[in-house]
This record gives sequence, C-alpha cells and structure tokens, in this order.
Amino acid sequence: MAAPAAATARAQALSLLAAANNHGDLAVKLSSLRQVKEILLSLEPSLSAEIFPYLAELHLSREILVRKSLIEIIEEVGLRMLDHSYVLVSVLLVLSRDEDPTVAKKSISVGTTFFCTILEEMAMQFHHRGKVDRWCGELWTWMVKFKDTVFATALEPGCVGVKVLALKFMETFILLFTPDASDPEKASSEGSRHMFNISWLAGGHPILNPATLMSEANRTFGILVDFIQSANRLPGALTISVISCLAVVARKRPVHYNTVLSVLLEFHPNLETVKGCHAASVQYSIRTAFLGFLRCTFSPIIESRDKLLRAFRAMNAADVADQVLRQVDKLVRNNERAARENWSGKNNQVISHQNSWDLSKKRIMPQGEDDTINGEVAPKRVRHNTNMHLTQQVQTNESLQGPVSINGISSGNHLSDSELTPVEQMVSMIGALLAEGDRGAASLEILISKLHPDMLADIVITSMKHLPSTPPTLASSVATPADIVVSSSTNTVHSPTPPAQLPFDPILPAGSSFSEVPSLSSSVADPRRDPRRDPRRMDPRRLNSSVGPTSLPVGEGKESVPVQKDISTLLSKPVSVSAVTPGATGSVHSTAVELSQNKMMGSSGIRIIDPPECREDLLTVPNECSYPSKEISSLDVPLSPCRDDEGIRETKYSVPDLDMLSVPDFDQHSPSASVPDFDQDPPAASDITAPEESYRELDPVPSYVELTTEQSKTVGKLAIERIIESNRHVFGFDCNKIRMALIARLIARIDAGSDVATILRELISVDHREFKGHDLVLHVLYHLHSMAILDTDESSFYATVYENFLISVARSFLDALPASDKSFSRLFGEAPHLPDSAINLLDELCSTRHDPVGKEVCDSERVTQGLGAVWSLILVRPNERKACLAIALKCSVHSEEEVRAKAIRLVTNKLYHLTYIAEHVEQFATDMLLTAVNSETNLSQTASTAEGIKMEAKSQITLTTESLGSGNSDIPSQQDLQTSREVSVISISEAQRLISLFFALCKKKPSLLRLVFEVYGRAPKMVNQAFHRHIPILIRELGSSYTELLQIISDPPKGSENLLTYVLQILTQELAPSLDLIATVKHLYETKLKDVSILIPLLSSLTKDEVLPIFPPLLNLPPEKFQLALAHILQGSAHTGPALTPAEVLIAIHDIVPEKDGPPLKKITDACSACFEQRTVFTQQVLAKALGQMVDRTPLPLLFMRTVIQAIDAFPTLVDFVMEILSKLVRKQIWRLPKLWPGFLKCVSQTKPHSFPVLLELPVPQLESIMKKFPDLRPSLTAYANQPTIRSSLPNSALSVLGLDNGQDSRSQMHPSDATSSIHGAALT
Amino acid sequence: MEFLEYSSTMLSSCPAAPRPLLLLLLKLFGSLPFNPKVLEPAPVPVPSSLVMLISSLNVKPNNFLAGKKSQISSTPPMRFRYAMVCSSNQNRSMEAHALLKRQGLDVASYGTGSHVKLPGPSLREPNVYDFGTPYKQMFDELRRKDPELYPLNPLMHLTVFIRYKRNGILQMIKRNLSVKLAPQRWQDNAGDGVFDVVMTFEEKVFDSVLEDLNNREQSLTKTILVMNLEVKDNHEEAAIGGRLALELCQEIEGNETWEDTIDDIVAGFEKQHRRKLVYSISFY
Repeated sequence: MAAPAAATARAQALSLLAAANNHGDLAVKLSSLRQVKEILLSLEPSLSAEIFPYLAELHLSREILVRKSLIEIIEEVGLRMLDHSYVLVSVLLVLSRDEDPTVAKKSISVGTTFFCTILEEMAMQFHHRGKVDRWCGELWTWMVKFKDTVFATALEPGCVGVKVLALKFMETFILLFTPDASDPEKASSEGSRHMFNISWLAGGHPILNPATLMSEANRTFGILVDFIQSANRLPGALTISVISCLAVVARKRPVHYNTVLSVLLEFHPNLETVKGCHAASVQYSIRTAFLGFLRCTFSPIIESRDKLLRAFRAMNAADVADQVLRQVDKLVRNNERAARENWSGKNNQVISHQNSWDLSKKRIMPQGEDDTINGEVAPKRVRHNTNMHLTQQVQTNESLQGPVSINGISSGNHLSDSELTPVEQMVSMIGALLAEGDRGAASLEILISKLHPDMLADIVITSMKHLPSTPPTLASSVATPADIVVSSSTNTVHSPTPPAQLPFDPILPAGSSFSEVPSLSSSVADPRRDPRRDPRRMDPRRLNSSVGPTSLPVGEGKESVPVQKDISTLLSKPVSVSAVTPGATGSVHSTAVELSQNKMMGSSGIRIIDPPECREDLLTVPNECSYPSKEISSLDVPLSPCRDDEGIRETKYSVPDLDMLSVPDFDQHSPSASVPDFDQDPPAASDITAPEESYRELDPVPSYVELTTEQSKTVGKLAIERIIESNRHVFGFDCNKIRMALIARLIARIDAGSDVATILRELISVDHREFKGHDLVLHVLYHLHSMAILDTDESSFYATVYENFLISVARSFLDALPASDKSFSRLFGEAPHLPDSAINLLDELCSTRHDPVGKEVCDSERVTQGLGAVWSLILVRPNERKACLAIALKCSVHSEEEVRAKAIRLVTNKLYHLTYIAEHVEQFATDMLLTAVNSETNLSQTASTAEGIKMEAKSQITLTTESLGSGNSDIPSQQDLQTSREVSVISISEAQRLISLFFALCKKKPSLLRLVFEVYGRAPKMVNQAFHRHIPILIRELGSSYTELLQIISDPPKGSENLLTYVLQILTQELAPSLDLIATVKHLYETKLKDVSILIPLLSSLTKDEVLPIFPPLLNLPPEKFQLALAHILQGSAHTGPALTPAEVLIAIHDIVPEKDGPPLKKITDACSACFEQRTVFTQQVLAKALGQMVDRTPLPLLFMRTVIQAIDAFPTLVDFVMEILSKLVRKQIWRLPKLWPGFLKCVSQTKPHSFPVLLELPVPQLESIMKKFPDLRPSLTAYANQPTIRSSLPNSALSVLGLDNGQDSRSQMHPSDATSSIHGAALT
Repeated sequence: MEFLEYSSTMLSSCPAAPRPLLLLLLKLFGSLPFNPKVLEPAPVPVPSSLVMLISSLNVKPNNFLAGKKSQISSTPPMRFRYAMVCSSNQNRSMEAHALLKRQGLDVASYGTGSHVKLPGPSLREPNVYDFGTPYKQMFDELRRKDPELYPLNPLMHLTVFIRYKRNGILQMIKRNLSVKLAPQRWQDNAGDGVFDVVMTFEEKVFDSVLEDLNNREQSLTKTILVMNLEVKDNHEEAAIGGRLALELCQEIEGNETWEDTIDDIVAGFEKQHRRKLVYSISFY
C-alpha cells in the first residue's frame, strides 16, 4: 500500500516541479512549489530525497520568487532530513551568490542555520557514538565551502544588504569557534541556538579540528577589525553592521573585548567626505555599542568603564551612560542580594552553590548524554568512565610526554562515550593546541590569558594529577612514611613488582577521582563531587608551596561532612578499581589479579576477628587507624575494601577534620605520630607498600594527626587567619563566597568564640567599605544557625557555638568600634536568630552602669547605640520584639536620668507610633505610674522591713505615749501608716523615675492625663510633687490643643481639685484663658465642683458681673487663697481691665451679709484687713471713693463704721472726708442703727476734736447719751461749743446738754465709768 | 513624560483667553453631560499578550493577515512590516501607527517605558497605567476624573485644560482605541514576529529598542532597520512626526534592498525636512 502511494506522490511532485519550472504564470509556479513542499514533508526522508535533485534544478529558474521559495523549501525540508540534504545544501551555496540580493540574503540566512545545525549534529554524533556519519562529513565540506563563499561575499564589492548578512555570518562563526571560558553560567543562558561550544570538540574530533577552527575564528575576527579600519571607504550601513557585529562579539566573548574596545575608541573616520555614508548614524552606532558594554558585567568590561565613560563624555552622552550604569549597578546589587538570600537560607550552602556551578557547567555538555547515562547502571558507569578517562589520559600523555606503553592497552575503547567536565575539556583542548605546535601556540596564549581564574586553577590541579609518579621533587617534598618504606618494599615477597605497577599507578587515582564526575548526573552521588572539586579549587590560593598530598586534607578540613564521606570513597575506590582494572588490562597484570583475589579472601577472614580491637584503636588513635590493624592482621589488610572503608569511616566520626589542616603545626605532629610505628614494625609496614604506593597521591591516611582540642582550636584559628589574609589580596566574587563558606565551617568546628571574633572584627573594620566583613559574619551565623537547626539534639553543640560566636562578635564590636558605628545593630538586625544571651547583652548595653567617671561620655553614647539597636530590632524582628520592648521600657524607668531621657525619647517618639506596641507601652507606663502612686502602701511594707528598727522604735514610742495597754497590732497600724508615710514615702527622684514615661506619653496622647487626675487624690505627697513638676512642661507642650484637657477639666475625678487648680493656674499663667476654658470651668463650678478656688486663676478674665456672685465664696476661702483671688481680680486681663476696681472690691466685701452667704463675719473683717494691708492698691482715694459710695447705701453695710475707723487709722488725712461721712450719717439718723451706732460713737470719739461739729449736729438725746458714755468728751466739747461762733449757732437744748446752762455739768460728770465701759463695747463690735 | 512637561509649561505660559470666550467655555463646561455609567468600577487590566491577541483579531485591517495577503497575492510587492515605537505608545507612535495604517502599510506600535504615563493634574501626579490596560478603560477613567480634577474655579487653568485635556488627551485616547485595543510594550512583545523597519521617536526609545534587540537571541540572520526621528511629545509635533514617518516608510517601502540606499534616503530626508535622523542596523 505504502509503496504505490509513495510512487504516486513522487509522480505528483515531479509533475508539480515541472510546472514550477516551466509554467508561464508565476502564481502557478509558486503554488505548485508549495504543493511540492507539502508532499516532500509528508513523504519518508529517503523517498523525498529522490525528488531533491529535481527540486534543486529550480535554482536555475529565472524567477526570483521561485528561487526564493526554493530556499524556503530547502530550509523547511532540508533541516528535517539533514542526512539527505547535501543536494539542497549545494543549492544554497550557489544561491548565496545569486545576483538578486533578496535571494542571496535569504540563502545566506538559511545557510547560516544549516551551518549551525550541521556543526551541532557533528559534535553530537561524536559525543554519542565516538564517530561521525559520512553524510555529515560531506555536508560539512559543503558548509566549509559555503563559509568561504560567504566570507568572500563580505569582502568583495556587491550589494550592501548581502554583505551585511555575510558580516553577521562571520560574527556567528566567531562566536561558534571562540571558546567562552569567561563565565560558565553565561554560556548556558545564551540560548538553544548557540549552544554549540568549541570545547565540545575536545578529544580529537575526526573532522573538526578545534585548533584550526579557533585560529580561523581569530582570523575572521581580524577581518572584521580590518573592516572597521577601512571604514572610510564603506557605505554607512556596512560600517554600522560591522560595529554592531563587533559589539556582539565583544559582549559575548570577553576574550575579544579589549581589542574591540580599542578599535572602536580609535574609530574616527573622516566620514563627512565619504559619499553615501550617514556619519551621525555611524557615530551613534558606536555609542550604542558602548552603551551595550556598560550593561555588561564581565570583569574586563567593568574594568574599562572609565574609558567608556570618557568616550561618552566626548560624545556628550555622559548622562545616558550614567543612567545605564545606575541601572546596571542596581541590577547587580539586586542579583547579589537575591543570591545571598538564597545562599544563606540553605543548609549546606557551598554544596548547593557548587551544585549549581557544576550543573551550569554540565549544561555546556551535549544534552543527549544525560539520558543515556541515567539509563545505565551505576557500577557499570564507573568502570566505563574509568576507561574513558584512561583513554583521555592517554591522549594527554601522548601529546605531553609521548606514548606510555601500559596504557596503550586500553586504547581500543578509544571512541567510547565520554562526558567530560569543562575542566577536562579545557585540558584536552590545551593538549590539542599544543599538538598543533606553533600554530596553536598563539591561540593557546589567548585562551589561557582569558580563562576564568577558577577554571585555570582547576586545570592546573587536574593536570597535576596527571604528572608522572616518580618526579623526585614530588616525592622528596612529601616525605611521607609511605615513601620511606618504598625502598624496603622491593624486598618483600608479597608485594607486586613495582616497575610494572608504577606507570599504572598515577592513573588509577586520577581515574577514580574523575570517575565521580560523570556520576554527578545521578543525584545519589551528589555530595561526592564537591569535595573532589574543592580541594583543587582551594589549593593554589592557600597552599602555594604545598604539594599534592597535603592539598587534599586542606580541603577536607574546611569542608564538613560531605568531604568525609568522600575520603572514604576516595580511599575505597582505588582499591575496588584496582580489583577491576587488572581484569580489564588483561595479561600484564595477571599476577596482580591473583594477588588481589588472595587478598580479598584473606581480608574477609581477618575482618571477622578484627573489628573490635580495630575499632578501639581507631577510636583512640584514629590517625594511625590503618597501621595498628596491620600489625595485628598480618597481611594485606589495607587492600580489603571493607576494612579500609570501615576504618576510614571510623575516623570520620571520631576525628575532627581540622586535624588534617595543613598548617605549620602539622609538621610537628606528623612525624612523631606516625614514623615511630614504622620503625617498630618494618615488615608489617612493608606489606602496605603496594597499596600505599598504588595511591600515593591520596595518602592522607598516614597524615592523620590527633590534635588536642586546644591544638585544633589553634589550628583552626590559624587557618581562619590565613584565609582572611589571603582574602585581602585576592578579589573576586566567587572567591569570597567560598572563603566565607570555609570560615563558616571552620568556626562551626572549633568553638572559637572570642578569638575569631577579634580577627573578624578587624576584618570588618578594615574591610568596612565593601561590607565583606559583615557578609562574612552573617554567613558564618547563618551557617551555624542552620547547623543548629539541623541538629535535632536539643543541647546542640552548634547552638552554643552560634551563641558564643554571635555574642563575642557583638562584644568585640562594642569594645572596638566607636559607638556611632552601625555594625552592632546591623549584626543583630540581620543575624538569623537572637538567643537570650544576645538580648541580655543588649539589655546590659542599655542599662548597665559603669562607675568610673572617665567612661561616662562613652557610656551615654553606648546607651544611644543600644537603644538604637533595640529600636531597629523591634522594627525588623517580630520575634524579639517583646524582649526588646522590655529593654526599652526598662530603660525608660532607669534610675539614671540621662538613660531614662533617651529611652523615653525612643519609646514616645518612635515606638509609641507603632500600633502593635503602643498598647504595651501605655500599659507599662500606666503600671509604673500606679506603682508610684501605690508606693505608699507598697513601700510601707518594704520600708517596714528596710527601716524596721527605726519604725519599731517610733511605734514603740507612740504606743507607750498614746495608747498604753490597748491592742498591739491594731492601733499601731494606723500609726504605722502615718509614720511610714513620712519615713518611706518614695523620694521625689524615685517618683520622677516612675512617672516620666507616662507624662511623656501624655504628650502624644493627652487623654492619658485623665489617669493622672484620677490617681492624684490618693498619690503620696512626693508623687504629687513630681506630678507638679511635670504638669507645667506637659501643658506647655500640649499648647493650645487641650481639648482633651478640657474634657478632663469639665469632669475632674474626685480628689484632683488641687491638681486641677494647678493646671488652670498654668493654663492662665501666660496666656489669657480661652473662652472654652472659662466656660468649662464655670460650668464645672456651677454643676459639680463647688469649690470656688478653681475659679481663681480665671478671675482676671471674668467680668464684673461674673465675679460679683462668686465673691462671697471667694472670701470664704483661706486667707492666702483669697489674697490670690484678690490679686487676680484686681489684675484683670489686658483687654478688659480689672474685673473690679479696688473700690468695687471694697464695696463688694462690704456688701456681703454674713448670715446669708455663709462666710462668717470674721472672714469678712479679715478680708477688709487684707485690703487695708495693701496700701499701694487701696489708697486713700480708693478708700474715699468706696466710703463715699457706701455711705449713700441703705441699709448701710454692717462693717461700714469699722472700715471708716480703719480708714482714718490708716490715713489720718482722710479726717475731713470722714467728717463729711459722719455728718451724712448723722443726717441718716445713725443712732437708729444699733449695730452701727457704737461704731459711730467710737469713730467720733477717736476723731475728736474734728468730730465736734458732727457731734453737735446730733439731736439732743443722742448727744446727751454720748456725753454720758464718753464723759471725757464733755470738757473739750463744751470748750469747743463755748466758742462764741459755735455757741451762737447751737440750739439751746444742745447747750443745756453740754452744761453750758447752769447745773448741767455736775450731772454729766456722774457716770464716768459707764462711758469707758461702753467705749469698750463699741470697740469690740 | 515629555508630554507632561510640555503640557505643564503650556499651562503656566498660556495667556488668558479673551473674556467672552472664557465665559462661553465656562458655560459649556458647566453643562457637560455627566454619564453615570462611568462611575461603575473600572475593568481589570488585560494582560499584554491577550491584548495583542485580541487586537490582532478585532482591529481591522488585521496586521498579520495583511502581511500574509501580500505574500499570497500573485504580484506581490515587497512588503515590509513596520513598528512605531515611542515611550508610552499613546501619542507619537499611535499617531504614526494610525497614519501608516490608513495608508495601508503593515504596521504595529509599541512603547518602551516601564509604564504608560499620561498627563495628570500636575507634573508630579501623572496618570499611570500598565501596558495592556485597554485604551477604552483609560478613556473612561479620565473622562470621569476630568470634572473632578479641574474645577471651574481658576479660569486660566480651565481654558488650558479644556484645550489640552478635553480636546487633547481624551481625543488622543479616543483615536487610539479606534486603532488598537491597548498599549503594548516593545520589550514584552518579542513574540510579535519579525519587523523590517522600526521607527522610534526619541533617542532614549531608540537606545532601548537596540538594546532589546541585542539581548534577544539573534538566530534568524535577518536585518532590521531601526530609525530614530526626534519628535516632541505633544499633539502638534506628533502629527508632524507621523507624517514624516509615513513619508520615510513609503520611501523605504519602494526599495527592495534598503541597505544600499539607506544612507542616501536618510541624508535626503534630513536635507529636505531639516530634521535629524539616525538609523542603525540590528539583526533577528
């Protein structure tokens, strides 16, 4: 069925093709071509291929569009059936030189696609199967021709559009064949299309010669550069294309960057003269290229930033460049931050980091490889890979040192699958380049100069493993026991013959260690790769002079668990491999095979017996683990895989890895520990030589050194120092990360605490600029923390280490760095976890007192620092918020005022704004306030114990004096309280301490004040005093916005009257009280609080009408308060003047009727007296005015006469005025007022002789009674009346009373005593 | 943003209109119909890719179909695909887009900014939208905001805003929503296919486009011509810029291999219009 169908399809296709070729109508041609394409795609490749030649003929068509669609078909069909497409490819070659530019362009772009695809295919085939199909080779020859054609197109004159594409092809070519060693991570991100990497060709590709290709790429690059230099003759479009191509090359292959940069910088063609070249655009394209460079973060590009910026300035585009730079920097920072976060969050950072590193490297490798590998069984893979590496090794050996006979055996497997690490790829590539001789030398030079340092280090280490086993330098410098016994080993019967073994030996370990690289693809083996990689990565930097063997331990020391595992695998591997490889290598090692079998048997037998002792040995003397067991089990033990494995595992658990650090101490320990053993038992030792010899490079076993904890600490410290030291000289992102990781692990190992902290502190302060130190500390902390978390034991070792480290670092910051330094709070802010001790430290920092006077200044700064840290912790660490808040609050009631002030500022200004804290703060402040208030009762108890003796004494006294015989416990209690109030009342400073915070809060939230009012009544006197100190400040702070206060005022709690008055006083002190306030207070007075004293402060603002009603109660106040009120009343406000004039005051006082209003007469008289005391206010005129007004009143004020008398006493000059008053009174028939009459009399008698005229005005009866009362008046009065002028005016009756008639005088002299007594009475009223 | 700046400078420098005119405007403004419908909650912004899809389906004549048609037709002229790019894909690029589209060219338009920004009540508070927010939604929102933002009070402001806000921005958006659904971001729409010519209207945009093209995987080996014509971000200039862009594109459209002639075209254009033009060549 299929065959006929295919046949018809074929026939149909052919007819369609004929139509496409010959039909007159272009549309028909094109449509038939489309149909052909459909058919071709539907057919089997082999059948389609039969049609290809006919299809290819179409390239001769005269129709441009036909040729163009032909290319499209080729693209679509050819790429699908690559193996049959060589006919089509040849068409491409022809059409790329087509006269029509569109066709030529199309074919070049399709050709480029083919070029890449075929190249990739060849590389893949080689990797998969070790050889390349013939068709591929053929296609490649076409491709090479295509390349030559296109290159030629670029150089020859022709259509610019085509040439532009040719240039692009050159760019692609350069990219393809220039190794990209800059950054392994970049390589993978370039996209699927350019996945091909020249390093794939490592290992001797049969067709593709990397060295040639590379040098050709270099040449092509040279062509592009030449283009630029001859730009004067080129059209603008071409120049721009070249520039953009070069820019792409420079960005993607940093190797060429510097060349491109210098070329572009020197590019100053005289473009104006060139016809048909748009100069501005060319210039702009250079600017675009530079901008692109700025966005790159390769190190050479970053280094040249200054140059670029200068160039931009020259172009007047500095601002654009700056903008781009800012963007890039931001991006880089973000990336770094993200990386750090990723990093620190994980458990074993280094592993994961290197995983990604490796994975990214792996991605460079052919993709298909993984699948096949994963399908395989692990053991097989190991062996298989070993073989592979053997061949690998052969090649290098061949190129480097010539053939090695033994290895040649396995070269039969030459073209097996291989999966190479990038390092190995590079090594083999370098090998290939060397093989090229002089031709490759130049390329090699470039390659090496551009390699990433890490990569280079890897290469060096890798090739070190490939060194021949017998170089004298290596052996002598190692000088391990193994070497010592080598000489004796030749004598022993059992040992394999060294000559046969030796050439093979170095390969084994190399192979076995390499064998883990392929196994990376399976996740099981993951941990193994890191350690293997790591030692090599670390070594060159840290141990420049040290040799191979020591390099391994160093790495192990710094890596933690995974490394240990690796030691075991490393050690066991060679053994197992040696058991296998002999088989593979065949006859040459037949003896060795037998031997090893024997050994296996023996060892299994021995193993049953040994373990207990062996283990004991291992546990106690781990560094000698292998030797003692050898002494016991007579033979060959080391060869037993199980034995060795076990042994090493034991060491792993018991020996801190630090022991193996290659630091100076090492030398002191190793000889003493291991050499004597050999001396004691040479024969036993000699047995080991074979195995020992066989993996000489890996002989860490004898170098195990038991160190005491002390020593290991020292060693660790030294190691850290060295790492840090080396850190100073080498810069680079990667290196730093690894260093951090190493240090973190070291610290985790040794609980180094303060020593390390000192070192780090130095680092941090030295390296502050880059914050590397801080990063380092954080890294360490995160590592320790993650270890602690992983540790399920509750009493985790790491947790303690973590705590110690954190605290000691923090302390060292405090000790060494200035208080203004932010490191401390940053440390606490970013540490993964804050243990209690950290909080304690903070607490201590904030509130501890140092007595020495000299430290005070520093101290207060420290407190600021501590509080600052507390604040930031509260903000960023919700977990520690409570504890930190507690610290802050504790400080806010600190006994030292400075500390307290700072803390209060923090709490009120910062913390109180945080909603989640405000409540706590408020609660605390309230509690403190209440503590102060309640201190009376509390303290009475505490004080009773504290001052017990004194108290007792006192109470004893009171008891004895007052309540003798009554119950001892009941009555004294009151008494006690009384005493305690005096004795133990908290001091004012103590009260201040407790309430400051609360008042500070009141500023933020005035409604809190209510509480103050509430507790005021029951607070002890001292506390109230403290209140009084705070209130003025507070009120002033509150300013005009005392609405809250008004509310409180309108409804004051009981007992707060004094405070209220005080507050009002303050409120009115400087400013006139607002109407609100007045209204509120008045209302309060009218409704709740009848105490008029609250009105006193406001009096000055009240009007006369307002003051008068409250005058009586004011009068009723204690004298001092009344005085105050009086002052206020008289003072008045600036606007309205005094509420009452002094005269009015006097009148008001007199208007008070004692019975009605309440104030007793005494008060009123006192008030009057008070007025009279203020002579400056109540002057003569005032009195006169007041009296003048009062005298007209009916009824007369009760105290009128008294005041008159006082007035005349005070101001004798008033006498005439008084007389007028008196005569007025006479006219008012004063004698009818019994209460005033005596006063009148008294006044008259006091003011004689001035009062005589008044007396004489009195009616006769009254005059007579006066005469009776004051007999001593009579003579003088009579004398006065007797004057002729007076006498004439007097009525007779009066004269008769005066005795100016006869017989009157004697009668009036009869009652002198009566008169005196009545005077007394009058004076009393 | 330049548009914004321009508007605000106009705002401050515009002289007060004659009194009668002002009164008339006031009257008009006061009696504007108020549509209660616009108070409804705003629709959710549509993702950019979806917008693209929808716009390619709804807007006539369809970009992609138009491109295909040209290939299918029996005597196909060389058809280029054009992209007009400015900062916000509102004013300059859309003006050119509308114009080129009307002339039957295969054209799309984009913005390179991080957001779409439109002038707001002041320079400091522009109206910011995400790319992909439909023009219709912006239109509705701005129309709703308008009376709130610009009360009747200061007469001078009123005139300015009536001129620039009502007759300018809203009209612009109205025009835009007849062209396509929503503004698109150049960097996010690499999937839109291959363009032959990209016109940008601002140096910054030019740089962004080139950088973005450089960052893409260049595997098609196909050239793209990027040109920058400086056009100020206001309506008048945009109209001029659109016409110039059209002229330029038409000239290039006639050239099968523009690479050979581009220098002359550019030089000629510069000479004729006395405007600076810069071009560059990048690759797909």
